[in-house]
Amino acid sequence: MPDDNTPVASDDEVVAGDPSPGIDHEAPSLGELLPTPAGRSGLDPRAQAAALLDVEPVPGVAKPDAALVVDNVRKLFGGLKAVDVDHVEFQRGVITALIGPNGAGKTTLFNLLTGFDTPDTGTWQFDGKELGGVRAHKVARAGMVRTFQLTKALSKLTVMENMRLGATGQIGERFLAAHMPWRWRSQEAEVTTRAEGLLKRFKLDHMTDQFAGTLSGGQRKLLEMSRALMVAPDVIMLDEPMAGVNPALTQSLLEHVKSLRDEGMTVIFVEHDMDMVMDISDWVVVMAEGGIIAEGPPASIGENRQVVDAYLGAHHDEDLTDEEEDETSRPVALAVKDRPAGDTTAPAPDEFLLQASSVIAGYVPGVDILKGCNLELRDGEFIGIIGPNGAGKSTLLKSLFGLIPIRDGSVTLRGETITSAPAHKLVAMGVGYVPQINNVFPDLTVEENLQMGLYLGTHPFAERLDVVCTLFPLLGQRRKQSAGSLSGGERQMVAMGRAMMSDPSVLLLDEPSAGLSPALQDEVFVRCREINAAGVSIVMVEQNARRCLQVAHRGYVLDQGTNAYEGRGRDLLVDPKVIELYLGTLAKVD
Amino acid sequence: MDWSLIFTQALGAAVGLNAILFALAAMGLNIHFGYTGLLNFGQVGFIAVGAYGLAISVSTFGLSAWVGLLVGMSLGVILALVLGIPTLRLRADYLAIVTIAASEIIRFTLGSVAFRDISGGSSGLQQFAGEIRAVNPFPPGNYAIGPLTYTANQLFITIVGWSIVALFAFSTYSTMRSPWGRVLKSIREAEDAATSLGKSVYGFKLQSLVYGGLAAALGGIIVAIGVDSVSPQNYMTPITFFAYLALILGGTARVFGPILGSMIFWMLLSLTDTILRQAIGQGYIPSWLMTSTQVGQVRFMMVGLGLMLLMIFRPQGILGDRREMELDA
Repeated sequence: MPDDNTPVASDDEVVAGDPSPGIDHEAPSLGELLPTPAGRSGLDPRAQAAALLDVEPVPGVAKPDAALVVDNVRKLFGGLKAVDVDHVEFQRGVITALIGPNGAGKTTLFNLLTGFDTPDTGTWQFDGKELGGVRAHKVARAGMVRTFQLTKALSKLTVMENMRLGATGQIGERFLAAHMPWRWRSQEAEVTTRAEGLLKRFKLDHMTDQFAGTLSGGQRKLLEMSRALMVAPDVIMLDEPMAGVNPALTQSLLEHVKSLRDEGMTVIFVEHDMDMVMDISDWVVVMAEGGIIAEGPPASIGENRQVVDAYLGAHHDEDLTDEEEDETSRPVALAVKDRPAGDTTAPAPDEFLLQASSVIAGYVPGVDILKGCNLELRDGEFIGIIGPNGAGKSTLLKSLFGLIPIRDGSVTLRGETITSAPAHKLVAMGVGYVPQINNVFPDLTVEENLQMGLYLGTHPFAERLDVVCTLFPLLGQRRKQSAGSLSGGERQMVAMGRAMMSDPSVLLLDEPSAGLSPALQDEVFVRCREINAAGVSIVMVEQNARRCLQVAHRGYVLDQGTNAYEGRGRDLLVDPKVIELYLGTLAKVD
Repeated sequence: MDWSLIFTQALGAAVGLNAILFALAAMGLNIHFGYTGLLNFGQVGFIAVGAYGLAISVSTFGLSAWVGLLVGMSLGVILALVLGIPTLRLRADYLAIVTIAASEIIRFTLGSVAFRDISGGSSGLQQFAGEIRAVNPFPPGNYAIGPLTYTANQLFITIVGWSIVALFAFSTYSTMRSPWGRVLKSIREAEDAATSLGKSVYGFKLQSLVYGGLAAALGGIIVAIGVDSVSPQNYMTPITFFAYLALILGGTARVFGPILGSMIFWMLLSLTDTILRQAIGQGYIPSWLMTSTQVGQVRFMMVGLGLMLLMIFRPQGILGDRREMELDA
C-alpha cells in the first residue's frame, strides 16, 4: 500500500505543465488500442442506455441486456451482515453507479463479485458464465477487472512496467520461455505499443520511465485505470475512482470513464461524489446495510425518500448554518476544560497557542515540500487548511506534530519552542493528532483503541470514556468490536475519539472526512465544531473545502508548499482568487 | 604482522567453497525475498536436502553419484512444493514459520538415531562423491593461481561451483528482465493488483519458491562434493540468516548483490580472524583484553558492528538503489 510518506509529485505540476489534463484526443482511440472481445463488438452504448428508460426503478428489476446477474449473495463479518443482496442485474454497455452510506457493503460486494473474497452463499453470472467460486485472477481473465479504493500502484516498477503487467496471455510469463527472449520479444513490443497508446491517452506518457511510486495520488488513479484497460476487459469495476483526487483531475477522470462506456465497456463504479454520480451514470444502484434499497436512473434517486434518509442525510444540499447545526447536533454534555491551576493569565489576542513560522520540510533529501509555511492558532480557535493535492497540507500537520524533521523555521506551543520535538512528547504537552489513513489499531477493540489514547495515563479512563462516548455515542455501542471490522466512517470516529482521550488542548486532524458518505462527512464537521466549542483548539486539513471553511473560524489556503491566502473561513469561500486556485471551474459556491 | 598472509587468506575465503554455498543460497533468497517478497527462513533446509540427497543415494542406496545429483536437486524442488502448496495462499508470515520449522525438522531427522542406517546419524555420511571427482580434468598436483594454491580437486570444484553461480546469475538476469520476473516483482509490490490483472499469484509464488530453493540445493550439493562429507551440524539455522545477511549486504533485488555480498562476508570473517590472531600473537592486543580462543566470537561481533554501520549509512546494500528504497511502500 502506498505509504503517506512516499514522496509524491504534486498534481499541480501536472496541471501547470498541461493546461487541459483531460483525454489526449490525438492519441489512438480505445477501440484501436484494445483488442475487442466478441461481447463488445457492435454494441451501441446509446441504445444500451436508452433501453434502460423503460425499466421500472425498483430494487432487483430485470435489465434488457444484463452483463452481470447477481443472486442471493450474502456475507457475514462476525455476525454483522456486510452484504445481503437478493437479486441485482447490471446492464451491459452503460455506466452503473453503486452508492450508499459508509459500511453499506459496496466494496465488499465488489470483492465478492471479483473473487477477492468468498461469500457465505450466492451465485452470479457474467455473460451467462457462472463466476461463483472462481478465483480472482480467473475472474479478471474472464473479462471482469476491478480497481481498488486505495490505489495499488506497483511503486518500484516503472509506469511502463505497470502497464505491461496488465497484458494477458504473455508468453514471457512462462518460466522457461522467460529465458528465451526471442520467443516473447515481438509480443512485448506489441504490448508496449498498446501501453504507449493508453498512456498517451491518459496523459501519463511523460511519466513512462518514472517509478510508479513517484506519481501523485491522482496520477496513480489514472495509471490504475489504464493498467486495468491493458487486460482489455468487458466489465470494469472502479472502486471510488475519484477519492482524493483534486477537482481539476476529477474532470479528466470523468471523461475517461465516459470514454470507456463509449467504447462499449460496461462500467460499474462505487463513488461518494454525488456530482459525479449524477453527471456520468446511466443507472444508479443504492446499497444500505448490505442490501439493495433502491435503483433507477440518476434523476429518480434524489427523489427517493428511502435513499435520502439512508444516504444523503437531511441536510445534504444546504450549508451547515448555525441553526441547522443546532438541529443536527445531539445534546452534548462536554466538560468545559479546566485550565491548569497555575495558568491564570488569559491569552492575549496576539499570544498564540501554536505558532509555526517559515517552516521548511520534506521527505527526500533536497526536495522541500513545505517552502516556508506559517500558521498561527489562538487558544480556542478552529483553523481549516485547504489547498490542492500536493500543496503540502498533510506535510504541514506532520511537521507540526514532529513526524518529519523541520529543516528550517520554528514551531512554538504556548511560547515554548517545539521545533522537531518528537511526537510522543507533544502528546504529553496536550497535542492530539489524527492521521489521514491507517488511523486505528484494527486488531484491537474499540475500547482498547480508546485505552491507547490514554497511554500516558493522565486521566482516569472511565471519566474520559464518558466524555468521548457522549461525543461519539456509536463508540459506546461498539466498545467490544474490533476496530478493523468497522466501516470507514466508524473508524474515523474511533480515531478522533482516541485523540480526545488524552484531553488535548490542540487537535490536529488530517482530512477527517476523506472517504465518508456526505451525511457522515457532515456529522464529522459538526462533531469537530462541538469539540472546538468545548475548548479544544483545532487545526484541520481538508479536501472538502466548502464544509471545512464553513465550520472553521479562519482558513489557510496552501499552494505548492507556501501560504497562498488566509482569512475568515466564509470570506475565503467566496474569494475568487481562492476559487480559481483551488476549486477550478467546478466550484460550487453558495 | 604478516599482511601478505592476511590478504591471501582473505582472498581465498572470498572465492572458497563457503562463498559459493552462500552465494547460491543468497541468490535463492534474492528470488524469494528480493524479487517476490516471500519470507523463506528455512533456506538451510534446501541446502541440507540437496547435500543429503546426493550422499544418501550413493552411500546408502548405492546409486550412481550422477543419479544422486539429480535426486538432490529433485528433493530441493519437492521441498519447495511441500512447503509452498499449503502456505502460499496464506499470509506471508505462515511461509516464514513453516520454512524455519521445516529446516529444523530436516536437521533433527537426518541426525536422529532412528535413521542412522540411512543418514548416518550425527556423524553423517562420507566418501560418496568419488565418481564425480573422477571426471576432474586436472591431473593430480598443486596449482598456484596468483597467491592461492589449490589441489587438483579443490580447483575443479571451485571452478564448477563458480560456473554454477554464473549460470544461475545469468538465469536470474534473464528471468528478471522478462515478463515472468515482472510478475514476481508485482507480487512483491501489491499482490492484489497482480491478481486483479489476471495473474495467478499462487502459481507464480510457487514457481519462485521452487526456483530459489533449487539454487540452495545446488549449493548444498557443491559443498558436499567439495568436502566429500555431510553432517547434520553443518546445516544449522544461522546459515539461513547468514545467507540473508550476505544478500542484504550486497543489495537485494540485484543480480550480483548476493554474490558480492557472500564474497565480502567471507572475506571480512577471514580478515578479522587472521588480523586478531596475529595481533594477539605478537602482543598488540594484551592478553587481559582478549585471548586467541575468543577470536571466533569477537570477529562475529566486529562483523556485526560493521553490518550495523552499513545498515545505518547504506541501507540499500552495496549494489542497491537508494531511490528505490525510498519508494518503499
